[in-house]
Amino acid sequence: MDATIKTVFLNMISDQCEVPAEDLTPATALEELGFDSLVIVELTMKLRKEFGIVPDDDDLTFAETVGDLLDAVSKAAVSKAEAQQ
Amino acid sequence: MGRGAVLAGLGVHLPPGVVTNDMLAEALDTSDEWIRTRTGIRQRHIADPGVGTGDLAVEAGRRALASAGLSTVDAVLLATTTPDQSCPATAPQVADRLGLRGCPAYDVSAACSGFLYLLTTGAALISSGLFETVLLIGADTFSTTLDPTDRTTRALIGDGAGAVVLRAGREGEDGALLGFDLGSDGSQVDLLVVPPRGHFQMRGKQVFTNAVIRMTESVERVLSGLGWSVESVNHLVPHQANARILAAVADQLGLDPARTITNIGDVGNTVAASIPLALAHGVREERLRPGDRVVLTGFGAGLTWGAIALTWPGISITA
Repeated sequence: MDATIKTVFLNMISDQCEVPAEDLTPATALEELGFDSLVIVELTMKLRKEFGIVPDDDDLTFAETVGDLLDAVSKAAVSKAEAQQ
Repeated sequence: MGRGAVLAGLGVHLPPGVVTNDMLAEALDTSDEWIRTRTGIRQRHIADPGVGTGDLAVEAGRRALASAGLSTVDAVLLATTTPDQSCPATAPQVADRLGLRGCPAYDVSAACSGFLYLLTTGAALISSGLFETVLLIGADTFSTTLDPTDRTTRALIGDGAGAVVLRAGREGEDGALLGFDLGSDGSQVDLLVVPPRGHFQMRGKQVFTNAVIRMTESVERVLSGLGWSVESVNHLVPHQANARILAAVADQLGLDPARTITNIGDVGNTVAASIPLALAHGVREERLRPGDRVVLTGFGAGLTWGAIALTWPGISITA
């Protein structure tokens, strides 16, 4: 589940910034991708629709790299899984 | 069908002064392209110094009464976050200026959700049998709360007023208000706030997330309560917060984005006036037709949110 969500999210980022997913590494700085400030929030809303998870606002606000974003998504997926147990 | 509240008139008023994105860019570090891509806004109307919320409210109220073919109502309620003074409420002066001295008049404060709180209150007053007609006005001069050097909030906000008349009727009639959902979360007050003696400030990303989720869930609760499918909704009329928030709400709901009525490009975010201004836009564009299923939704400071479902009545608005 967790790996699937991360892959979907990485593909969303890839589509949005028109950079192949294999060229995105955890160290890739979000600044390099040319996003405006709302794009990440819009992508996380799509995650909510697809998987019912919403990453923490603070985690998103302080994310500087693709890895930070994937960690935030992963954390949200774990929280949701724990809440369901 | 039981007694219900029916939408019987609609009127709006915008102050004549227009501030375009290019005009903002002359004074601030911004551009037409920056503002349009992030908000969908091209221009906003700003009240001249000395023109208050009450002045805008009176004009919208007068037009809503004319639209309803009424010269008097049983009560006047005003939704605003920028009253003409902190005490007393602005509604009694608005009522007096409309020739309605003597009728009950009071303000309702719920920021950008104000019009939904107002409609719910007005509908309840009618459904209870207490009143036969109410004039409900949403008006704000929220530009007065802004930091003149803040490019984000100055790009978003415009001034304006919009009003409706509700009358007693039957739930099966066109124009009947059928479903209501309201909520609040005061623990998140810091997301959108005008601190004492300060300027309006907002946390953009958190506001975006909360606005999308709260409006989506509120609409879903109203639809579920009525047994309406998303596909059966002809028009979603959201508070005009930001064009990208509105697109995200439609996406979350699985609603065809063409069914969202939006006029944010021309007026910006007008706080409590935004939903009636969008409704008037929908009437002028001949999109809102009698019998159409319409869902209103909003989100704002508080936090507050809400959604209301109705069928559209056969009403006309004056210019």
